[in-house]
Amino acid sequence: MRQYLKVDLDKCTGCRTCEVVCAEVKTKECNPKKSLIRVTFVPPYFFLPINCQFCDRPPCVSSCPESALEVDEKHRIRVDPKKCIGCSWCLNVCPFGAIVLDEETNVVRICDLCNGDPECVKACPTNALELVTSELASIKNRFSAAQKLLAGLISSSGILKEVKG
Amino acid sequence: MKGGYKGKILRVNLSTGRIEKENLSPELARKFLGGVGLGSYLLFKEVPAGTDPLGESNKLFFCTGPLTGTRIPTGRYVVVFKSPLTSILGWSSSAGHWGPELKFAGYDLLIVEGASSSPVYLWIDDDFVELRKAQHLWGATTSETQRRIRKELGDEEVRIACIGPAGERLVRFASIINDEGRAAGRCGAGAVMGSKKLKAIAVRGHGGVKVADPERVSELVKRMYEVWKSEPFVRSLHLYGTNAMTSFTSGIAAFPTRNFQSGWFEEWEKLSGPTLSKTLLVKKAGCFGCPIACGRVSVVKSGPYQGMVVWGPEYEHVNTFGAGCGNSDLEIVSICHQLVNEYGMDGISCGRAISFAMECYEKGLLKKEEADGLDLTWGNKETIVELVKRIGERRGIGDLLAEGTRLAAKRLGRGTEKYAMQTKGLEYAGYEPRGMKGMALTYALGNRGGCHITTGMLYLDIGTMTWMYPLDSPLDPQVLDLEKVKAEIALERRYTVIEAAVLCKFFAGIVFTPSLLASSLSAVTGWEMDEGEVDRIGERIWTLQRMFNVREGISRKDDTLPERFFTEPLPDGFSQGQVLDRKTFEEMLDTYYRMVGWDENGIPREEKIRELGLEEFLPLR
Repeated sequence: MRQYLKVDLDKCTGCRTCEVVCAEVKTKECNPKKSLIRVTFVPPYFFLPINCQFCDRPPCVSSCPESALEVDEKHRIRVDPKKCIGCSWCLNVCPFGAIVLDEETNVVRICDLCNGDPECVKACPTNALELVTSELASIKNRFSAAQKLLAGLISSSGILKEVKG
Repeated sequence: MKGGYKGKILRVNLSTGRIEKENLSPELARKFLGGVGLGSYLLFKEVPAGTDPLGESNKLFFCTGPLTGTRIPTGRYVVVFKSPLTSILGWSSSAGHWGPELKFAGYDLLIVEGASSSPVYLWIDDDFVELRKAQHLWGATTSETQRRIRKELGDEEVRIACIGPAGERLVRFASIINDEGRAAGRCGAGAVMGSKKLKAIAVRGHGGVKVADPERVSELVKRMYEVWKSEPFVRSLHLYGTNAMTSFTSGIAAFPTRNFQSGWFEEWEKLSGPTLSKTLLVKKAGCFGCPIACGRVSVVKSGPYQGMVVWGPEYEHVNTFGAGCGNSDLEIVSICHQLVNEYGMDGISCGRAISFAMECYEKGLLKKEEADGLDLTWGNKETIVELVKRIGERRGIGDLLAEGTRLAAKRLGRGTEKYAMQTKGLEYAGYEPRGMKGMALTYALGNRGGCHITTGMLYLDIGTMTWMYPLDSPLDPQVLDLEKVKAEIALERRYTVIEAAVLCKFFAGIVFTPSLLASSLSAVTGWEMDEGEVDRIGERIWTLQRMFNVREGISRKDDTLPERFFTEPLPDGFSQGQVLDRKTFEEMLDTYYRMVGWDENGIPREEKIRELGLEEFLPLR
């Protein structure tokens, strides 16, 4: 099943630890511009870490003139460095700006979720990142919506008071 | 150099428009590290004695350090200059993301010299560096300036450090603002930028930072995380921001109230960190790579400023615009916080200038007519906000207060000098030295004047431990003795290294032990340094800063505090009856001078100067 990163917007502080760790793990260099997850800041105070969303019909794959990109069985994009000519077409069509062109090798790089154990998730100091499937994301959202409703009921109705705690 | 440094200095001359790239000497780097260390060294070397701080000959040294932009949490940069507020060495540091970006662009240091005849801004895109016209930005607030430059350059991720209207109008404590609401606040760096007609510095960098031993750095970071997670004070900074401090200082009644008339503000809970979290807070914001995320974002909920987004408020502003002015309205504090950021000025000096005026008014030394007809009664909310604006615009009474409390009191005369709460011209932060007696030493001896963070004394004085100066048991805040002098000396050295490295005083200043500091520097630079060498670097930089100030006329007579602290016991709360004893204070100064190798007049002795390898700066006067 398709996996992706779920961001808790309340928890993300925009500290970019995910960027730093990603760059270091993938390129052995502390350079956020090389990170495959980037924290985008929209003033005055909105932060959103963005990486590959593992689209179902990825425009990057279909736009590649050299067929250098392909989707593997886990919905992750594999780049064949031998075929990639560094033309940036994939980068232009990616709706999330999640593709990085390596200036040194002239090959594009895309998040592969560190083979299912993402370093950024482990490093996030506020636990704002989580690896989920779409099903798991829905379950979590349903559960937290239900929790909110329950909290509302507890505060407004006497009947449910015993549920508290 | 093996790691940590980019090895390049960027020098921009605004008079001639010349842009040069120079090499950073490894020997110099090992002697002074970077940040406040290299900055102070270059300031001493390049800015002659008696230079007018707002004249063409003053320079700005924007400095990163070897640890900037590495995995080790720090998003800071330091700017060093001669201060228009104090006329001595000035430095100011800011967090966010601008510092690392300068490093990623390829520079350890940026030197700005000369002065432009018309407004300009500097655009640094790796190797490409140019000065661009900024006439159209002149007069814009700091958030507006950042927004417009990002748009103009067509890049929303460009990092910008800029001044606002206060810097343009040469408010003596004008600040530099970067990353929305992060400030290099103290000593008036913004006014120096304003005097050079430099509106902003925009940076984009693509290069990374290499460290000498990546595995060791990873191990060290792991250890730092373990400590920070279990350290209650640092955790409280994450939960409540810097405003966590309000509970600590109020607890021992050392929360300066009504211009230091008291240390006990009866309504402190209305201003506290937990109150902020429950009322106005909308976001926690972290600096580059930092897990603490002490930054706050709040939104004003009512009144004429309803909807205003505030990058704060920080503890110091909660004190200066809150208790300091007898005001318990956190919303007013937040508005003032955002206004000082938008005008680009230091909220500590600005708040203290207002409380100074309020006390002069209370004592009948400042008449209503002289204060533009404003009612300067303690806690008058409208007046506090109005004065912030008048200072930022140098309008009416604001023009006088924009000079800082020391100069303003001198102009006013009438004995108002005793209500200017400053040392060497720099106003005090939110720590009452009668209730936190170690702070008396830190305030008196600080090389940039009455500063609270040249040492970590405030942590010791509130009874928290700091790993940077491990103790068997907490120190008594109400005692001034040899233990405090020893702490002052050790901490001023280590905190100076933190400011040279460049690290954050919340993360490194509390979480690091001296050995962790030495290991971090070693792992990043590849120079094997022990604690002794690190302390020695701190001592060298500290002494050099003192030597600069001695050259500008500073001596023992300036290492003091206002009369109030020696003659007026604190009236209420936990610290009731506490006062500084003049004789003890002078004895401690003697002890300090002796221990650090300065003469009885506070001048570093020649043998000490030679021992530290600073003989190139002899003779001092």
